[in-house]
Amino acid sequence: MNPPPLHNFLVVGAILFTLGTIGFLTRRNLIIMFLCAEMMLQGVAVNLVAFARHRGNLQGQSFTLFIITVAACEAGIALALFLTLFRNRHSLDISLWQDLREPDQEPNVDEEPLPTPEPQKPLPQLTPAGHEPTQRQETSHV
Amino acid sequence: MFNLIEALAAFLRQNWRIVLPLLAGMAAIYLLLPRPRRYSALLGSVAGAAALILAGLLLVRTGSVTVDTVLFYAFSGIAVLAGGLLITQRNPAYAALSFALVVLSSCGLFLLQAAPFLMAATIIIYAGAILVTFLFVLMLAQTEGPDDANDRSREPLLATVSGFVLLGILLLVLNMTYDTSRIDKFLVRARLASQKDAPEEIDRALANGERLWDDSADEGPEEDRSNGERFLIAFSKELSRVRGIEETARFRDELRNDLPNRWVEDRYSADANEGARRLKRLLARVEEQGQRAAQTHGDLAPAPYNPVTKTGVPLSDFSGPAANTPVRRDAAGNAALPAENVAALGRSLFTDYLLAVELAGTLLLVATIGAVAIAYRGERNA
Repeated sequence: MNPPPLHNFLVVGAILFTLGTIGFLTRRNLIIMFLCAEMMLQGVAVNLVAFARHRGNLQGQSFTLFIITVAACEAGIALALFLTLFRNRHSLDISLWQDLREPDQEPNVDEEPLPTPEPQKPLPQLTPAGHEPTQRQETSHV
Repeated sequence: MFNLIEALAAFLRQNWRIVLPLLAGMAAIYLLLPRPRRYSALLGSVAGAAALILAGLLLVRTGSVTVDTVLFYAFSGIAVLAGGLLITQRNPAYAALSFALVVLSSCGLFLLQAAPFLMAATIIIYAGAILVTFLFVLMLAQTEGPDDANDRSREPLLATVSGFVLLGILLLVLNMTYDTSRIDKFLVRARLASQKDAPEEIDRALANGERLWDDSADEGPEEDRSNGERFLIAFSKELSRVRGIEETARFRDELRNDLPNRWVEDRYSADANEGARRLKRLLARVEEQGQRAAQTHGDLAPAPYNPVTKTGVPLSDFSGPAANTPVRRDAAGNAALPAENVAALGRSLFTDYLLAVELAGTLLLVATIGAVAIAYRGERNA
């Protein structure tokens, strides 16, 4: 019975790390960028735990605990920052903050228009059919 | 210019197993990233599925299918798939859910690697605390309809290409340093061949299946080599990729230098069975040395500490055997880890990493205060 070798776990860690990098570079929603950074940390954690298993000592697992601690701190601070940023610009788009770029950088302008959302179809209405039943006037015979 | 193309072709011929899934994955991510006018989702999904399958083939091993391997493929497949979904999803709430899936399946990988405490801690902290807080913020900051933040990507082509170049380099280095699948193939072949008795059968079993040696195994003064000779020569070449272990190096040199002479003797000796027996003894050593080489492949252990001469580095052994001592392994090749994972982790944290634990606690405290100070909307902002 052979366990999956170290190499396989390292490859999975590398793939998670790179997917996180790509997401962090391309996505513009602050929250998705943050999740991508967390995914990079997960890739590193998989790596460390695999090495701990391979070498038969617990240093890798201890490091992973510290990674989790730092990720928790980061999450708390990041959420507070996102709330402040959202309050200022009323959007989570990071490109709204591009005045913070280097002085010699060109601003990033979106040229392609966003697709207009399809107008909501009005709810179907039943065509009136038949005739309105006449209602007998209720009279009381008291 | 011509040299460059030639070198590129040689590189591709050697590494097409790595390059193909990378290209498919790159196409998938590029096609699926959100943009105002999207490509068809079907095209991207097909490319993504192809990338997953090709990457799975890259990792497939010879040998028996065990529960461990099946679980490994399941967990890592889900993790990579959910990772891809996370970066291509335009709705951030779905992205958060796929991140939960990434965390859960990597926790499965932790469990496969004998880290139950980490699995529990990661699920509780990531999937429990962090993710729920995120969904909370998402609900607070929700916007209606198409949105710059969710429906556009920054430089999708450049980012995808650079990301996959990084992944390619990582995979190449990992393949060079930690891939033991070639050695495993030799081991399986040697094990099968040593079950045979007659010399011709052993010879045939060694060449049975995928060809393990190239034409360079036939170089040298001897004209017609037997499969046994070719096998041993190819194995000694494979061992020369493994660095650092003295015994392996000695075995490799033995195979390379002594073997040709001895084989000539055997071939012309009257007793063919004696030759077969000798070959079987060699195959047993191949198995032993190959297993050790596969286990220590890519290790960079520091020099062992010698208390008498005070050479080497004295490393702590509170978290398991120190890095410069040999690893104890059971028959299946697993390194020994303490059965009481939580107790052993606690011991490691409160001896080797005591200062780091205190610092981490302080960091958490500072982060809490910082979060409150940043998000505070009191009289200052009113």
